[in-house]
Amino acid sequence: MSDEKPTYEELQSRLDEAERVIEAIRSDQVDAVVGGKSIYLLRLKEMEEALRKSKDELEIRVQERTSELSEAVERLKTEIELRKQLEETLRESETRVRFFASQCLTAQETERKRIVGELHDSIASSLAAMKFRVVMIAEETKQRGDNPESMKDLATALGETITEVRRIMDDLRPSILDDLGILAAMNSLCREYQNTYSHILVEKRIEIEGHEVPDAIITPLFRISQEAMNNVAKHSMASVVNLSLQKEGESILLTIRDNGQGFDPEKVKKGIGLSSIRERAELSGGEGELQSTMGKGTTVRAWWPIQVGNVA
Amino acid sequence: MNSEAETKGETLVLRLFVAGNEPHSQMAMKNLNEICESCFKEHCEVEILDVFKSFDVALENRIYLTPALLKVSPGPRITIFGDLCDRGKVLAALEIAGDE
Repeated sequence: MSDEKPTYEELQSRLDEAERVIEAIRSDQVDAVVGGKSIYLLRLKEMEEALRKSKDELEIRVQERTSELSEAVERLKTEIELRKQLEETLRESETRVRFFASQCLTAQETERKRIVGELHDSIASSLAAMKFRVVMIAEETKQRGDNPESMKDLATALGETITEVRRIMDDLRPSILDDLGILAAMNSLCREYQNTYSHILVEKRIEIEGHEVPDAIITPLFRISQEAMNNVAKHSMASVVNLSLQKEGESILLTIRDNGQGFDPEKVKKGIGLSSIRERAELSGGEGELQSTMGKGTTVRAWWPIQVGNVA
Repeated sequence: MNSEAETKGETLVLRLFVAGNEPHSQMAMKNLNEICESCFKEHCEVEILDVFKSFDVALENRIYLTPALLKVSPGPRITIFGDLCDRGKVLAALEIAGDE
């Protein structure tokens, strides 16, 4: 390049060249720009095409995703609906099962009452009559000077049979429960228990009035006590059993605690006794639980809300 | 334009700068070939330079865009840019230069 000023023609020619450059770029006829150090390819059409294509692809992808999502949402909705229906069905059948189970317990009690009635009216009465007759005969025989020993033995045997039948009747359905109410029945239960298992000291604490115990929980309350006390005698090796029945806030709480050997609730197969304690409590609107630790005794608790008992 | 262009008997010396096999460069080569065939025949010398291989030559000739057609002689140098698809414009540019 010279230092001389360019001529008018040179300037004009450069201007023309610049115009041709601009036109080539404008009409998109350029491949590359040759820079100071390297070459830059200009693939404008391709770039535009690629851009348009990727935009289209993106739109398609978005559409696909959207429709996939809405399908998934639909599927979920259907599943939720199905689950709701299943849960509803399950709840209904659970309710039916519970109702049926409680009906069973009621029916069992009714049946027991009926059997006790039958026993009382037929066997017990005729046994009592027989015993009376035997005693009479023994008296007559004695007056005739014969040896009445065998007759006396017979009377004793009959007396024992009568006692045994009464015991069975009381086990089936203690008449005292129907005749004198829950508190008398509980007292009787403890008394009988103390007589039968003299090696276990029964400590009883009843801090509730008979009329405060709703009718609906009288039978389960008594049966749970009976079952828990029998378990203590059968398995616990306890020397003391503690029975308490009290009001606690808005609940009636029954506790039977022993100082026996206890057991590991995880390892002990749930016997009919243990599960029936909880079941009886739940079916009558309450709750039941059992706690036991090896070497530290066992505690059975059952509680009922007072108002539920009243409603039932 | 099919007649032999006015070159006053001198051979037209041209340099076409292209960028590899890029489409516009290809198009420019094709178009230039056709123009030379039909308008200048043997009175035309064409040198094709790939800027990827002749980078320095391009810079020396002040070629900053491809494709670019440089008329070396006769007369003043002139550069035309683009794929040379408009034959009229190409000839006009070359002839205008030739007229001067």
